[in-house]
Amino acid sequence: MSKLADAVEVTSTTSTLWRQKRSATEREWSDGRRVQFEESIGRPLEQHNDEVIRVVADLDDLLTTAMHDLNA
Amino acid sequence: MAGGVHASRVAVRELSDALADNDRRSAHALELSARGASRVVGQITTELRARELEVQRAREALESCERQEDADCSRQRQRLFDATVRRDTAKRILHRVEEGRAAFASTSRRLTTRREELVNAGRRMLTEQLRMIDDYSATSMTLSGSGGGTTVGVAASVGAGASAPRPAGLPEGVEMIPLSAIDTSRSTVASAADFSPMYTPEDLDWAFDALEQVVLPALSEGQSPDVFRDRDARAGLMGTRSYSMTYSQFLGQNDAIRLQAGPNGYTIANGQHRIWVAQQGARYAVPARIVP
Repeated sequence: MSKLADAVEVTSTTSTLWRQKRSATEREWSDGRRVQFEESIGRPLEQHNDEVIRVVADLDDLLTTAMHDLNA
Repeated sequence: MAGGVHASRVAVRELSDALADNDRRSAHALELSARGASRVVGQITTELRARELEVQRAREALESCERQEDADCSRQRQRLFDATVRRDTAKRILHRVEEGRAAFASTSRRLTTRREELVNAGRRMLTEQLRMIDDYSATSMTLSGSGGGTTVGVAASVGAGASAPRPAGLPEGVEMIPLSAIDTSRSTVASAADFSPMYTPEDLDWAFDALEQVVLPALSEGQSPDVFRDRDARAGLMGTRSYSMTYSQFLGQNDAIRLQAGPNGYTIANGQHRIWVAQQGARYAVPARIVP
């Protein structure tokens, strides 16, 4: 299970780093190109990261509960 | 304008790295989870086999008991009942986990496909952005050059004598030489390993940006090179990453890149590390003094 916790951690860190990097980019990039990148790539990838976090966490819950029930 | 171009180039590089990092980490997280699920399924399957064996033994014990006349087999019956409940529990859990794992695998495939689409589209956009910045840089040099609109489309086969348009602020005696006109075949610099730890490729890349963003714009406004020492002091810059050293190593009388004209282009008399870094950074031209 600890491996799955690692996966959740990896994904959360990924998402945080991505947000930070894009935030830094927002300060430096200008005009419609940044807006276009944000709408086409930035936000969709952030949503993707959030979904990865959710499915990894859901699987972690399922497996933790399963092992608990098995040993009950 | 130069600052905007500098910022965009840096932002593109950073975003490109972040995109690759996000791609690698997301894939790693999904892979870790899939492996974790496989491991748990393996553990439950092993446990299920043990419980099936337990049921089989309990059944054999009950049958053995029931073959005896007037035997009390209630204990064996209870043992078989308990073993069956434990086996069925394991079966249900395994079924539940396998369903969850299958759903996860399906979602994981969809997410991977989606991520690949986004990353590839992101890379295309960043490549296009870099191309636009390069186009802008070339146009900017043309507009600010003293040659009155000299084109910058120097072909790869260009020989010695070719120069790129002069950006404003470039001192007399220094020319912008397209990298395509420089013969690097005899350069001893082939990788980052050929740099001293005291003076890294990143330091030189910083200096190229500083030249474009700070040093040349200041000179074009008529400021003396002496102002760079003050600016360094105010910004806390020193050594390899300072404006004064950027000035001396790119434009100084003694330390600038020195090139010699030859039949097949310019050969490098001094500055092969700077030229290598410029090539790695996909820069168009370097400032150099042409020597006999």
